[in-house]
Amino acid sequence: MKITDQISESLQQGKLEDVKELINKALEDGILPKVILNEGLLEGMSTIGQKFKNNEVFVPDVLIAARAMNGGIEILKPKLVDGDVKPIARAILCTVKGDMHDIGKNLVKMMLEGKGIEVIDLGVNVSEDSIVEAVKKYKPQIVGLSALLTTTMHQQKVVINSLEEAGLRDKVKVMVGGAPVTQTFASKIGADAYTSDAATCSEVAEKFALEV
Amino acid sequence: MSSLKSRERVIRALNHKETDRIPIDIGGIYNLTTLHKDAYKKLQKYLGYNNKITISSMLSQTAFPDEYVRQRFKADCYPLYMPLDKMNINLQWDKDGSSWYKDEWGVKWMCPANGLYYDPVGHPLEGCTLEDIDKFNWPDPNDNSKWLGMGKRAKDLYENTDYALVVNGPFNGGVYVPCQWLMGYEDFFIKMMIEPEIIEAMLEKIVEYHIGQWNLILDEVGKYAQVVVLSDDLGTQNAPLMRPSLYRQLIKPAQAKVVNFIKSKADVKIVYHCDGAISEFISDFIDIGVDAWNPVQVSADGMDDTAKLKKEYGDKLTFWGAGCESQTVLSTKTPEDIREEVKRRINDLGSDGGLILASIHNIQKDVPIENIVAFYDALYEFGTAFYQK
Repeated sequence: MKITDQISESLQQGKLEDVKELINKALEDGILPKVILNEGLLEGMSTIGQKFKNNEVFVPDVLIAARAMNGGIEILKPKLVDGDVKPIARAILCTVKGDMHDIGKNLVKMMLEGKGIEVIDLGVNVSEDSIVEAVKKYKPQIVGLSALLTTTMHQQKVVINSLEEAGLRDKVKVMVGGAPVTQTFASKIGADAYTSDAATCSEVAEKFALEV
Repeated sequence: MSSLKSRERVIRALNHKETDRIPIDIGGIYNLTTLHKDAYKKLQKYLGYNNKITISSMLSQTAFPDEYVRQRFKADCYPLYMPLDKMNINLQWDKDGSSWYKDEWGVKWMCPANGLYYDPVGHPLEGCTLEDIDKFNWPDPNDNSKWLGMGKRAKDLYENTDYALVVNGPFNGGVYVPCQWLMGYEDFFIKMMIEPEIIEAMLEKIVEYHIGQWNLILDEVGKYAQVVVLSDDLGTQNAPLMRPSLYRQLIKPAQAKVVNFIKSKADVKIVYHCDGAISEFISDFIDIGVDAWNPVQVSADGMDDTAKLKKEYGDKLTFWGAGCESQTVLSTKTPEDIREEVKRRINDLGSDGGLILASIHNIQKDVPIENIVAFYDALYEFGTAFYQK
């Protein structure tokens, strides 16, 4: 098995120490950091995302895979040269105002990073004004809004309206998600995309990123 | 069948026997089958009064339904729980309008400005080691201060009302979920995978606390109560939260210990709350001795076919909830749609007992008042008509 495949495999099993060891070995073997990143770490994260989508693995598996990915990236970071890791897009993510739930949002963050998208995580209970400010400041291509509750999902609409008022709506793709959110709701509020799980979200975000 | 008293109706349903009508629960599970205080306020107004609302659960900010509501909608269950004033909550307010408090375990709970509930945001055992668990200042499992007086209340309700008494105990019934409160969700899930011995050690502490507390509670109310509530989340909207094998290895044995203790101590049925897409776990619930399952979240993946659920598990498990899909139907459709939905669920789940009707989770403030009333009225109407066919 190629060493990058071994890295991907170990990442999927969440074996942080193995991932680190294999990366060091790959570097010693002269494999380019960029190749290790793309074909080892990101490939592994993408596979775990697919498995998550198919209910073959679950939240804990994704968390330990992301932990292994981050551990691997720590080693690679000093060795990567500019241009190696240019993110394919930038996204801001948050859970909307009135809602403190962050598991779904955090999973989305991990999956987006696994696709090479830079993520600015604004946290939970984030107001529409803060989101507008962040869009001005970070100029992301994607805005991801999470809501777990039937009572807070309507805040996603408020955010979209605020982006419109600020003249920023056509600058970003707005993606919405969360347990009670549906495609019908997303269409009604004028979101660009709804996805039902973090892996699909990262795929659609990647598509958006490549369109831009 | 001649008319039954509420308590008898609930007991018969839990024993899978037909009843005069299908029993109804509004607020028996004090934090899960009632209404959010704002929805309750609307209901009071509709019914033409405006009394001070008693909050039953701090976390979910739910109302304790009063006698008028119970009578008006023919509810059969009555909750026994620790009143809020025994929690000694020292509520703090941040500048942005969020409020928060720390519980006796040191978990910080926060409700955002204009928010609806309190969620855990500060975790005293995040990143803990085995040694940290050992050293942690665990509350005394044999401290009975919270439950004093519950026995007297239970005796009074038992002797002077017909209600089925439902006991809500420590951690809102959670066996593994408190571990997530103490260490945070992500840390918990990661440790499950890579340091299961830490999870086992913490679960041991939680089980010890449960058993100590249930020992005291059931000494007080065991003679009078019919149902005990336990609760642990195992599903997301579309999948199990964790591998079933991991649940079976780590969590199920802990839950079984609590169930076994409660059943050895008192003649009660256990209703277990678990929402989300959890079809893979239902046989585990039966396995550990759970009698009823709440809330049957029909909007989660694989849970909509209630006729199939009844066919597969109906002889062993009572369905407690299932009244009406809550994420789309109850909150957004018309009263007529709601009546159709209630009728459908009753037809799917009502035969041979084994059904106690309730809302699927608490009714939230976004539900229009005419829908709330149509829903509760439909529970009685179709729950009565079903056995008279």
